[in-house]
Amino acid sequence: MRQQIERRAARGRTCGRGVTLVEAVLAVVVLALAVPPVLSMSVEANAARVNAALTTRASVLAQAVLEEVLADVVSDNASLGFDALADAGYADTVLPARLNASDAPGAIAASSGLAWTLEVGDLVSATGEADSDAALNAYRLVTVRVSYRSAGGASIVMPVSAYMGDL
Amino acid sequence: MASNDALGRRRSLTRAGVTLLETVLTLVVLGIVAAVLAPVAASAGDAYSSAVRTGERFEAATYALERVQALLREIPPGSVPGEVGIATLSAGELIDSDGRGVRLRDGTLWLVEGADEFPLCREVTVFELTPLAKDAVTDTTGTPARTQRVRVRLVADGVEACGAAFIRARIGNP
Repeated sequence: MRQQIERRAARGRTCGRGVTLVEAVLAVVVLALAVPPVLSMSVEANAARVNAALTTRASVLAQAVLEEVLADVVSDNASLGFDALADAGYADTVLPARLNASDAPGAIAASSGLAWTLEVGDLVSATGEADSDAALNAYRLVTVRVSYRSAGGASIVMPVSAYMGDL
Repeated sequence: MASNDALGRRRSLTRAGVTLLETVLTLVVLGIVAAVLAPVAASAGDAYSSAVRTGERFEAATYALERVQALLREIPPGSVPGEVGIATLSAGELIDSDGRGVRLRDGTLWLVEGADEFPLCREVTVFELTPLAKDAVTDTTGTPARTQRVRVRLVADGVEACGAAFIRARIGNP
């Protein structure tokens, strides 16, 4: 084996046997097979990057909505406060009208293709379950659902929840 | 193996190395492959670099927004019950009674800490603070002590970020 290699090497040096056409074409074919997967990896990395930005955008929006709800819950304004949370129109009309007005967080997120809905849960006690003693049921679970389309076109819903109390 | 050796020997005896025709053919094939792949590679490269740039701008704007929101949440209570300690409130500037705040000057958003300023975000074209009273409607720009929540909108290097901050000092002090 070793002799064979030496003989070949010697022949390569003395006779100058170069690269044949078949070898060159093979090399090109191997390259052609190897390059597209590498490119597709970079495309996938791009999509991941876009999705990360969308996730951040969605969480900024969810935070803005929860912040607004918290401010409303603490407000002693006649039309707001903890009791107003459960009003039929609050989650569907009052808050969207305010947050989706131009230059408000909802409208700006909407221009990036994000939409949100608010769901207000039933009265529960500090344990998260309704207590038989009605006086202890002073909390509501507030859930913001931000929905958007990922870079791949998949529909994604990001739910963010917080307990709001009758402070 | 043996046939390969025989072939190699015959070839090495008759024509050593690569002929001009083979070289040209290889170049032509390489050229065709390159022509097919070049647009794909170029577009992938462009998309990647623009995504990286957009990501950086987006992160800078989001980070600035979060810092401003954190600052607004921590605005101290005022000396009078039911008021908050905002010392200065004007377009693009908010300083609380502890001397902490945020200010837009020369296209840069600055975090203010007493007499010191730290750059928070550059190339800021829009920085709007909308202070609202507890009814969520009344603008309290003229009476900052009555502020209960603040809307923040900033555009940095073309990226728009918008959030809201509820002043925590208002809890239990509506």
